[in-house]
Amino acid sequence: MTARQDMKRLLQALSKMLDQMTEEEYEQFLSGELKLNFVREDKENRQVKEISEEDLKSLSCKINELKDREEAQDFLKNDPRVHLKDNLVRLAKFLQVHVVKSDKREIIEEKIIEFVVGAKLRSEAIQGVNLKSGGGA
Amino acid sequence: MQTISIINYKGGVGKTTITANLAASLALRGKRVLAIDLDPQASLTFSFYSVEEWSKNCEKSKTIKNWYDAFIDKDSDLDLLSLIVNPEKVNANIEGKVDLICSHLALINVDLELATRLIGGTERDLRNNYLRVYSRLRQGLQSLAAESYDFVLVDCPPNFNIVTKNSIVASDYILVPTKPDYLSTLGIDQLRKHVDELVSTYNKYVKDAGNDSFQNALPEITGVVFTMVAIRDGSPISAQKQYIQQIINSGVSTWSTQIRENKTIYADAPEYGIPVVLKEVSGKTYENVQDELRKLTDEFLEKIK
Repeated sequence: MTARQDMKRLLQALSKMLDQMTEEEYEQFLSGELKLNFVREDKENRQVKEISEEDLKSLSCKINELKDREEAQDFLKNDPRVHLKDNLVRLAKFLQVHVVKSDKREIIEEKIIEFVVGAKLRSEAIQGVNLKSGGGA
Repeated sequence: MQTISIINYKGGVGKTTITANLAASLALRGKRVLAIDLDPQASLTFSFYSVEEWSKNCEKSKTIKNWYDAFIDKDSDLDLLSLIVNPEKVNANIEGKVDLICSHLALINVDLELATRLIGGTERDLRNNYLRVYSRLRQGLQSLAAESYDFVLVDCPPNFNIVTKNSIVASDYILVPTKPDYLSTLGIDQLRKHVDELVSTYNKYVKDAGNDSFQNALPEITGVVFTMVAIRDGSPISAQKQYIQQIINSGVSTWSTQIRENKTIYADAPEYGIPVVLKEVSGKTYENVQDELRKLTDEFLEKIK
């Protein structure tokens, strides 16, 4: 492997790591509060980390019960099952939310929240409009 | 005779394409269909007649505008039957029939004139005027013999003005062609809200009026039909799939048949007076499109009884 390929792989690994970090984690990393750690990722380890179908169903039910965006954001940030970006992507796909490879974690969270909670809030807002007075109900 | 309004506030979502193809496909199966064009853009009319044919044969005395004009100008009821035409091209080689009541480009002004008819001095005047204006089409359709048609398909304009409300009040069912995108998801909520509000007010006035001249309006939203769907590997692209899912999640019923986007096939079809579903074609793409339209007709016949 050439030095150039090594460098390319190293940069890809760094890019993936940055991609998976939240803005908050990134700030903490820059300020030295968070440090890099090396973890061996073997197949067995990877299988353990991958979210199960059952968890996806349970997460989907839970997020559907939430009433506002902040609550949903806290939920997605704190639930360990979607701590990994890959699992968050799996949840998005399970819900049928459209995500693209370049979407950062925050964007995926926002898309999920808008898809589930935002849609409900928009619908309620429209149903609540008072058509006779022109103001809210 | 079942009356179905094909409606969406948004323009360009495929209302006319759905109306024209359903009408033709139902007629191909032996059904008798009356298609009514309530949109001043007259797209349905020009899907069956050339502009010249319409100018020569329909413009002066055979459009839905004549019928509203009689009410506005003379407070009289023109016989709806006198306005019905039978477009030649679409009716060649089909077992049933597609009749049409054409639209008129000046129908756009009718709404404002109808609005003046809503004004009344007393509460009773207001109520009676409201019922008379909004039940115009319903009364007109009731004047046709019930056995004349199996289905009346009304292509509504992309708004919720008085003419559109006439169609809702006259309908047994409402069908909502929808593009799977963000604004359409909002549009469906708005439409449900407005339909509920209209039906509730109309039925309240019917009850208050307490006479047999008017009956409750009971239109049922039979569902959303997704149109202009971009298909990849046999299913909608994920950017559209999420809006399809969002509408399903909202609790609105949706039809399982989805109509794919195909500019090449749909773009010029109206120019020849024969909807895509009736064209003699070859090629896989064309066959897929026609197959979808046939499935849409199957689903229509299952749901509209």
